[in-house]
Amino acid sequence: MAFLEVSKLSKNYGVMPVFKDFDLTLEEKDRLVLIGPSGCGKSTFLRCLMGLENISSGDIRLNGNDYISVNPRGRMKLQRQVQKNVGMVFQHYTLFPHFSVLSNLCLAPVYARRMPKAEARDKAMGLLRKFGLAERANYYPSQLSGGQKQRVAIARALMLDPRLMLFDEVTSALDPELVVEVENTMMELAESGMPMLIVTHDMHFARNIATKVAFLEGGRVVEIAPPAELFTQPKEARTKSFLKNILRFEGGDL
Amino acid sequence: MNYDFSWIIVERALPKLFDGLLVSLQLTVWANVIGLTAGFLLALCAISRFRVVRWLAVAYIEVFRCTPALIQIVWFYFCVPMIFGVWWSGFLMGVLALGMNLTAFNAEAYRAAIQTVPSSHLDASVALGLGPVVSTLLVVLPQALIIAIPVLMTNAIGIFQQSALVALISVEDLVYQGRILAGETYRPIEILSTVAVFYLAISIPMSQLVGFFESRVARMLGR
Repeated sequence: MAFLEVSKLSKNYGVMPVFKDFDLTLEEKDRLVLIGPSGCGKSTFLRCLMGLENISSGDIRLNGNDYISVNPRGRMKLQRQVQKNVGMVFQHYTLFPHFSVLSNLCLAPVYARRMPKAEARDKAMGLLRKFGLAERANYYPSQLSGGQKQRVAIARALMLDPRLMLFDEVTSALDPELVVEVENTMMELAESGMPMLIVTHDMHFARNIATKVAFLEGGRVVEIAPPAELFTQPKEARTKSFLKNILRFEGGDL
Repeated sequence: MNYDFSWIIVERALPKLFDGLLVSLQLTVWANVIGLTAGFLLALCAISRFRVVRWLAVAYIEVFRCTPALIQIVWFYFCVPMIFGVWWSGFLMGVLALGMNLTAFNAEAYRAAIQTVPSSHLDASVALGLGPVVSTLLVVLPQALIIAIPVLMTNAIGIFQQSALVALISVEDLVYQGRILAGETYRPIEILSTVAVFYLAISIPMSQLVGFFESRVARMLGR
């Protein structure tokens, strides 16, 4: 049984279809990077998985459980219990500016999971220590660098022990210098065996972290393959031309 | 011009003017008690999911923002007793009129502040499994209140100036005392200038404070 199974997912913005019969399967050991031109539905797909977008049909299963599905009357059914197993990190950090780093981490466990405050605090401090951010625990988000903010956001998502992590262009808003620290954190998380779905424009990073890379265009998967394969011998003509343009822009090959 | 500015007139006027200032400040404080609470509730109505509630709230806001405060005060003082048969003091009518006026302006301030909170924070709340009540109370509203503080303070200063209008319904505020004293002494220059200085002395530190809070809010929210 697949770990994550998306079948016949369809979504429209008004009359514009974003996905039509989108299928994707992921194993528990997989880290999938989604690449593709802007507007191809990469981010929207992650948002659908998180339950942030309405879908028009299809279903999404995590470990075989119906997790997001659409009933025959066209109403979306969202099972919170399963949704709680997915964590998400966004492009613009979305740390809550009026809470300290520690409170940002403790908010969801305490108010959404009823974890005792002391326990949440210990857990948060443990994560911050692991991320080298322990001495920033009482800082406010505005006092942190972009890279630190994004790593706090990752820690905040990990507080809920997700079984799948979604990363939506998490390094796109960062200065190049700070990208590395966030990517290193994600690499460490990958090494610990966390299944991930990542949207990024950084092809070098994609190649390093992914077990599979999917090239999306026009709301469907054009090609999906391990990075070594997809980046060096893409099968589809469209993948080739996309990679050629991107790599020329980045000034080097992979 | 060769005018002999008499400081002794100013000095003798001070006790009465201080009495008047106290009344003006009381009007301002009570109007703000009404404006800060009712304004908040009205803002929630103005962004309500229910169309009728939204319309009523917007209608209230537009009526009070688009008529002169002077008319509102005079109308309250003369028309409310005739229509509703209540005979309240000028002070109470003044507080009500000023408070209801401030309610409209503060509702707009709150509403704008709530809508300034980035929608990505709501996405993050959902992703963290926070329910709508928790995310409203702990994520959206605190940020909105912080953003609203400078505007609310500016409105408070505004209502302090507007409170001068209640002199017309014979509330013994700062302006009322000033006009009486100016008439009694035939020294409007001394008296009315002092009245103006009183208003300045309160308003300038307040507006400095607004600037201070504005920069604090900007820094805190990382903008």
